[in-house]
Amino acid sequence: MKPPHPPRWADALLRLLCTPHLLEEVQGDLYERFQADYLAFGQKEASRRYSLNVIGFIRLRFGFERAGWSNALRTRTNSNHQTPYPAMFNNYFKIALRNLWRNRTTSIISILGLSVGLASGLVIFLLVGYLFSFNRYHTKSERIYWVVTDILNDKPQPTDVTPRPLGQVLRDEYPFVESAVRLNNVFGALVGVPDGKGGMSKKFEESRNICFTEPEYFKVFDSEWAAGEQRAALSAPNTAVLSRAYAKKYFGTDQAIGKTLRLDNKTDLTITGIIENPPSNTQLRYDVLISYATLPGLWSDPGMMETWGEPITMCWVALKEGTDAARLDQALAEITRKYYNAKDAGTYKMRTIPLHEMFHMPGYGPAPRPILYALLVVGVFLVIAACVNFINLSTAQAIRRSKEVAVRKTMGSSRAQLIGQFMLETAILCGAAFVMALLLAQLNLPMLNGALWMLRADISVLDLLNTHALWWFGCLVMLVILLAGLYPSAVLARFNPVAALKGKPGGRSEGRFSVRKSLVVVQFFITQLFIIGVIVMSAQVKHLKTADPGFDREGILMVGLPSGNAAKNDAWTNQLGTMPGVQAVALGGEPPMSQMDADEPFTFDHRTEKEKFQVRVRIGDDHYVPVFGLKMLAGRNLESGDTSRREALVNQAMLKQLGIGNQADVLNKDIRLWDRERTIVGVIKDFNLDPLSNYAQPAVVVNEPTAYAMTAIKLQTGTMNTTLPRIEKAWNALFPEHVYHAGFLEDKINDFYSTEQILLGLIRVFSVIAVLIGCLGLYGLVTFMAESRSKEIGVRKVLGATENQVLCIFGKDFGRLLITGFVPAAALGWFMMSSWLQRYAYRIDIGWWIFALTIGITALITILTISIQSIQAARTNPVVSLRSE
Amino acid sequence: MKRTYLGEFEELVLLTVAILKEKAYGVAIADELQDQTGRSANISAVHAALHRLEEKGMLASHLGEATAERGGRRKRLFVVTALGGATLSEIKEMRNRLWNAIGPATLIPTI
Repeated sequence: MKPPHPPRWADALLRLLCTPHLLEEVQGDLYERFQADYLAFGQKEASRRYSLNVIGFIRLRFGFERAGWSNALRTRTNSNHQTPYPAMFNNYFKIALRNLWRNRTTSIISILGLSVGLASGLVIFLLVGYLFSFNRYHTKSERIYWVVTDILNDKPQPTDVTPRPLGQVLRDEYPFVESAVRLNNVFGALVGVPDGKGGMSKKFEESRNICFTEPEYFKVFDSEWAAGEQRAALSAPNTAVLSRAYAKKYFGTDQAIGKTLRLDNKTDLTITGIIENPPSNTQLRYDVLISYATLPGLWSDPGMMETWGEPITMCWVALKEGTDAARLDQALAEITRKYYNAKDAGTYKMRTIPLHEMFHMPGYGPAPRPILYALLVVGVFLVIAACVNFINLSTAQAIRRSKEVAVRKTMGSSRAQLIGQFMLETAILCGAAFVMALLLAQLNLPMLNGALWMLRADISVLDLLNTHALWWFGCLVMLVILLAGLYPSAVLARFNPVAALKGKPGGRSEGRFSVRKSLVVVQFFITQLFIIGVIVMSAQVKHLKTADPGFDREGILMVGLPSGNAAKNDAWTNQLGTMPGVQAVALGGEPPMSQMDADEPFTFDHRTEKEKFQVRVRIGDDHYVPVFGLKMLAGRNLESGDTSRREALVNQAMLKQLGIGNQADVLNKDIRLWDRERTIVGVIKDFNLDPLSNYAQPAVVVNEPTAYAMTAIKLQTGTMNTTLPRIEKAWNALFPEHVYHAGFLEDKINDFYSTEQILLGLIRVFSVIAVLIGCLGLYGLVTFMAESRSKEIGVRKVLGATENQVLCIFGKDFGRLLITGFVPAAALGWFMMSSWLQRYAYRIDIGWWIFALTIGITALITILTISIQSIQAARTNPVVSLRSE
Repeated sequence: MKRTYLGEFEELVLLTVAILKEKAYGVAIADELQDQTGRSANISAVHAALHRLEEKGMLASHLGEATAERGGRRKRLFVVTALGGATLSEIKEMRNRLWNAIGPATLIPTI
């Protein structure tokens, strides 16, 4: 039998901590005790007691003495052979501070460079951490699934909704489902606070933070309940729950239970509960939750809850613990077979998305994983660049300290001690840099939060104060210290004392492959990668904003329009028509380019079957085409008096999909849309329907006065300041019970690209930082070169070299490094940027000019950075540099 | 007379070393302390006290023989020095004087 052995970690700890000359007796005693305990209590208890005893020995007398913190704690027994650690430590510290002070400029440059790099890295990591934390705070988030339906037509069309009865069926019939909740988003609604006299004291236009949902919402998701009865909430029709902030907004107090709100001027809602404000990392950011049971009354359609038709409501399912998600998929397939007829079952395909993936699913969430990973890479690159820069500067300085190292070595210092000394210096610098980085990050985060206002972001450095974040932050600190300190201290410790004292330091590394040069290559690589990224992204965003979308967008004001009152609409257009500064007015559903869109099925030319593809519908009156400047290719525009709604315009893509070559052929053919026959009277040129669509989609323009939702007003340029208030005044007079809101089409279209704008802004800022850090590194290298080659330059000049020739030496060296860095940067940059561009239908080509520009910019920056130092070196009188030989 | 101060636990350890004569080392002292006084002493506390006493010159030590149960490690054996012995008897005398000054039966509970 193997003899019992105490736990190894405890043994190792003891060896590490106990003063060496006491180790034998202490360990002997502990072993003896362990054996006795083993016989008396068995292995486990003996090991436990052993460990406790070891920990007992971590006391001043046995432990700290070894680390040598203080003279006062030293015992008189047997201590004469100990190294005087405290003295050495104090000396290291003192020398470090003196050195930092003596080279203040370089120290400040290195700390600055490092802290700026770290701060940007930190900001990126915090941002990515925040974006990855979305929807994960729910206690059940690992087992909540979102059910969505793909409509399988010619091209599968993903939706974010399910048929209305699905949630109920899942809850009732499948025991592995813990709970399920249905939810309907409200995209725009008018919320009013009744004043008790039939009118309204306040009214608010809300969008996207209102939903209709069931009581199960609070079983599936976590939300903190502030007031009211949670159990009964949202079960009765015409009740609602508010967030604390919105209770304040509507009623001026959070004691809002029992008060009334009016939705869209017709339905009164009683407040039955108040919840705490939703956290900033949720996608379910609802401030007004209205009971799901309100819906049938609202639409006056009592049967709607049981209809298996088109998918229309969102549905989340919480599975019981330990249930496989595959069972849910099976159940969905089963339900599809059971409730749909054969044809529909083939069309509607339900699938699941885990709640915590929602935010990263392309098409469903705003932060796809590739972009987040790309951001992380950017952050890592910045931190690396900062470290590389730091290494360069400190190795450049090392040469000045060769004499100190030589003296230390002569006095008996070991290489390990020297490395320890310089690591300590690095740690001091890094510590300072980290403190500054935290400050810088905190100062800049408000700007980032501002840019992410639509997420209601509240990122702060304090987010680091949780175990997970402290863990990676600690690792980052250690990694940076090791990365930044190891090489310079190894270089220093390597100096040959004899050579160094004779005044020829560092001679060994010359002429060979040099680590420092490859570090500069790394910097060139990172810098140029950033520059390529910025050029491509700027060009693409500019392209998106300026490319011809097929319609006019300058000077068009979009004003919201309450639906359903034809007489008022006429009055409105008439008033606008006589207003000075207004050129033309069109009523319609939405502008030609819009994000919220569903395609519609239709029948062409009295065929018996519906067409295999769907068409995108734009609703507009006869002024729609001229106001937006859509181009007619054949036929004529909608008739002005088309009140019978019998006419339609189609675009080129529609003809192509229908397989009709000649534009005239399609005229006077009928199209059946929304159960109404319409005659095609004209063909319009393709225009961009969807900000990100990959191709021109089939579209039709029809007139549908009941569905008007906006007014497009073409304004005269120059008189806008007087026209805008006039329009608002007229609107408010006509529609007193609604909220006026207006915006220019151009701004709305730019808003479509806000993600790109933010990304571009971030990349621009970080590239400037990367370039700055790169410059610092170059400056370090050129200082080093000028210093270590001063004798060579002196000899060259004595032998007749001109200043220009000397400058050429520097230029050649740096040029080679620049090109070496450029090649991989161009390859990687080309690859990354072209895969990014795949997202866009209208994209730029990555031409040679981008790379030429990159090299040009980098060369210019390099020349600016190194010129002063190299000119100085070239001008030095050889007498000065050669005198001491 | 100027005297080095001796803590209560130190005094007990010193007495135990005296009891054990030539066989006093860490574990043995801890065990003996337990037997004699009933209080279980942490082995590291015993070691710390031994070192303090040695610093004060009341104990002398040398390395003894190794045993198998100690994994071949030697033990440090302690003996009481003359100073240690003198301090102990001084403490005892002082205590006796104090007791005598109290007088008989003062602290003995009466029925």
